[in-house]
Amino acid sequence: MREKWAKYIAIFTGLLILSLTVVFAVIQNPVKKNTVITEMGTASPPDHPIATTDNLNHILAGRQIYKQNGCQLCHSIAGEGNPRNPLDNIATKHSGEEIRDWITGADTLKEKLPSHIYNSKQRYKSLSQDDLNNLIIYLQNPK
Amino acid sequence: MFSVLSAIFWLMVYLFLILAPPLTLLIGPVPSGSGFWWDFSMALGFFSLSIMGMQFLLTARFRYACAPFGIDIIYYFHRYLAVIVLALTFLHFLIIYLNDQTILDMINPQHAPWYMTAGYSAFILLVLLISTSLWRKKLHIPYDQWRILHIFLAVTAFLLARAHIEGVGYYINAHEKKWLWNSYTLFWLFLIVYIRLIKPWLMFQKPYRVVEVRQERGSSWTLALEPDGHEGKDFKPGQFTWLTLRNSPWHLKEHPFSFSSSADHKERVTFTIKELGDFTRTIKDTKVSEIAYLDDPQGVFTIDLYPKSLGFVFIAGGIGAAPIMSMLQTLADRHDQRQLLFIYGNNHWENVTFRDELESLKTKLNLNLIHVLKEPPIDWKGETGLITNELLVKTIPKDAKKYEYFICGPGLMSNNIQRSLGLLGIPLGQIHFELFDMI
Repeated sequence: MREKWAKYIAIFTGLLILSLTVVFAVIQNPVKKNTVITEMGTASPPDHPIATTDNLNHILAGRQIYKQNGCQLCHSIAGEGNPRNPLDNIATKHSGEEIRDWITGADTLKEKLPSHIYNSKQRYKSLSQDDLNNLIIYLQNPK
Repeated sequence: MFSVLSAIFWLMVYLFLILAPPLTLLIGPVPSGSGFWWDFSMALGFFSLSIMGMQFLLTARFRYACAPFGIDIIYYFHRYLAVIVLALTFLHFLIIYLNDQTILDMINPQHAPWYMTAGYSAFILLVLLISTSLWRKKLHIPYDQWRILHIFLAVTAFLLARAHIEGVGYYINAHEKKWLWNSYTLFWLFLIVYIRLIKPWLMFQKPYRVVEVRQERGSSWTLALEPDGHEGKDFKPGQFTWLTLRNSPWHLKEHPFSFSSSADHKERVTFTIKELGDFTRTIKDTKVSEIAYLDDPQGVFTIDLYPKSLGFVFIAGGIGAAPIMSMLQTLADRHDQRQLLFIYGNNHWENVTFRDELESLKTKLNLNLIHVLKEPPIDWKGETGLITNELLVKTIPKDAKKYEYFICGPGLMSNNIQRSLGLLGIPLGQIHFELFDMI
């Protein structure tokens, strides 16, 4: 009987936690709202893209680099990945060079980004120029 | 009543301690949500870590917090919660996976950010931790090795999970949240330090010395210990403690045993131990004057919680009589003349541990002693076979509901007797037993 009490209290604790997890998620998402790009900050007019949709090989290579580097852990494209920081319309707001700065955590972003994100972006500086270009092309043409 | 209120109080304290860390993330400046399921998954991760941290508290054996429940129940609770943590952690991963199946690509540590590797590793260690605990005997892992493995896996899994949260950062990134979560982490780490360093040090300060090693009937040995340089630890009749022999308290080589001596004589305590496993088979090799260490006594299997009871019924099988001997010896020392019944089951008459002492106790107590032998000698006139429902009907007092019942023996026997007593109308709250086979 006493063992059963241990089980009941553990189940109660588990259910309480599940309920509070729901409360947590509801508080954080009170009404359905449009996704907001939090990381990219203020929108800026599109610049001259460094490639176009007809450059399919670059796009496919860029998508591969996006996945290999785990970009989806912090970002989403077409609903896939972390919904916190969607990148779907990034090309309408940032130029290719601005996107490059965001990817590699340029010095100008040091004040705008939380330190751990700024630091984690530094490793993308080691990507080759070709890889970076392909990644930017993919982000400009994510569909 | 006090015990119930005390239990509710400590349960509330526990719930507060596991719920507060994740819920405080919602106080003050909070980053924006990322969709219901994503944040649901994140919250599962935070709650899982919070429970993991508090698992260390559950095994810290804090005497006052354990008292209303019994440490055996706390250990069972610890075990069930571990399974719940595993389920919550898996759900945490599953939701993210359903949202983004490429997360599996991040399993390879060569390509994954370090915090993802930390998260995956924590989960794998958690699976190992729980499976080696639930199936220790089937996996043939010796108890001493298992304890070291358990602590290593638990602490490493916890630290990796904490690192995973630190690396992801999102909710704890604000300055004050960082402080708060660092404080929680320090508290959880303090629990580990307390259990593994401070508590053994406290035991080290109060050593005991072996003063007698006596052979008993039934392949059992009685160890008598006397406190060395201190007054001894108070205990209640029927309680048990963790005994360390031939090692320091830091060696994690302690084993739980019931006291078999009177609680009114803490200046000389005894443990009667049957040769059943690797450690218990070495008891006979213990030398007089060896140093031993005892943890604080634990357990609610004691007559002292029921001072107003009309009397007590004890039912034991084999070495299960040890805590009952402690209760009978204590009652004798207190000149208690309440009505007592002791039904004691054994296989052979020659192997009945405490046989002679029980005869002696009959002269000091109002004790009805009934031996039940499975394989009795030819001239045996007493009860035979198992302790059956019929035997209980025949022997328990007429006003049975006014007594407290204490059962100690092999699991199957204990379960059968609990069921029989329940059928006889004894309220469940008056049937007491110890769950010995915890791991």
